[in-house]
Amino acid sequence: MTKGSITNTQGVAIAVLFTIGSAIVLNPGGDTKQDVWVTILISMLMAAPFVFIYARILQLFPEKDLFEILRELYGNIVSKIIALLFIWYAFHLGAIVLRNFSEFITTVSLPETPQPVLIASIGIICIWLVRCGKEIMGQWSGILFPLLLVAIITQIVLSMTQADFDNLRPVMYNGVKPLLGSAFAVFSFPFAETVILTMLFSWIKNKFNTYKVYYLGFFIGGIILLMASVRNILVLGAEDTILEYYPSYEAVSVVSIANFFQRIEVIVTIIFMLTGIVKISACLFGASKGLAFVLNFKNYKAIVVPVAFLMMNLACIIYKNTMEMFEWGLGIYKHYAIPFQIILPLLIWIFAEIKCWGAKKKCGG
Amino acid sequence: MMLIIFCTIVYLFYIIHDLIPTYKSERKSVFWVYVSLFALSYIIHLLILLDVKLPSPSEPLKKLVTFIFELSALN
Repeated sequence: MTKGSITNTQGVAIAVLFTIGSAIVLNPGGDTKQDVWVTILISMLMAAPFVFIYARILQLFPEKDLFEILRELYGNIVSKIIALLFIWYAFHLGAIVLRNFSEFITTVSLPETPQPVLIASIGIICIWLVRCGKEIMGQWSGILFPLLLVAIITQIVLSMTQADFDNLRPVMYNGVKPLLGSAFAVFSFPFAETVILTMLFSWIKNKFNTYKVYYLGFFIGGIILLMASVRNILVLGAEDTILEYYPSYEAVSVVSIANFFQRIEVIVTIIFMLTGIVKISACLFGASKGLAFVLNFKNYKAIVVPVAFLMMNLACIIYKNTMEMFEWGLGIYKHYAIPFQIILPLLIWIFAEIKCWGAKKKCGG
Repeated sequence: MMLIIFCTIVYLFYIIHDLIPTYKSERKSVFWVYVSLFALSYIIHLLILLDVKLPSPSEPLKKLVTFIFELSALN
């Protein structure tokens, strides 16, 4: 493994943890009630071509991340302008996820703890992880992923003792059309957010295959999300699921086996914390790397700390309360993210294909 | 008050642990960018802890998105 690189397995682990990050607890697509599983499947179909685009962009320019590819395609000045947009997106998304975290912890377990303290506690861990470098992030994710997978599957299986399969009916009572809007929201959060990973990953021949990493990560993450969402409907019912801010937490809290094995919602909390740390770290990595690129710094690690602290500041002020956070997440985010998830990657891909068309020897092709 | 002290301690820790080594090992431009961003974040943190209401980008972004996509129902 070359210095600063990660293996395919570690890349898949990062991609899965990034995908399920905050989504596994926030229940995207939950407004479609018992049809949430159809919504998620439709959103996965929508996201598949874009996952290909993200992987293809990296494959066309081996051993380069998104920012280096931008410089290759657009030259010094235009690449920095586009990079600023991606930096803002990574920075903003990191702050949003940080705030999601702190609101969750405040709501479910530590209501008296001031939010800046919770945000700082998580932010400091992410600083440490990002400053250690991509390879440490990869190794940590690689160790964490199988443990989290077992924990997620265990809590889903245990929840089945409280499941009522009638809660999934009627299926598509109002047809497919009402599901499409929600499917686009699920596409936007969390699947298309994996555009952030183009700032972390780079194609390395025979060592790091971006197609394998992206598609496996997307597929496994999607299945986990699907299982968790269906579990929420089965256990809580459609109406109760949309009433809850954190339905996954509530669905797991009802598990009680022989009055002994109960209160396992702490597993959900730990999963959320660990996956969220990976997601925030990836966003912090992207923002720091981008800023280092714009300012022509050789080493992104030098500015991780101030960028992280500014991200924590933004997390503190971004929303007034939990309701505003959900209103923004459900109503605005899917439209706001279109330029960063769809338009810019499409433009970059088209330019990259055109540039590589006549220069197949220079491009990964 | 306790929160302000806690915040200052955290910032002091990073000044000792990170900023001073950055000054010694990196270019001056890196150091000055670090200092500027760090000072800005410390000031903002103090304002947050003093319950000063700071503008959030969410509202202008919401207005922009609502205007562009004509999401009148969200107003």
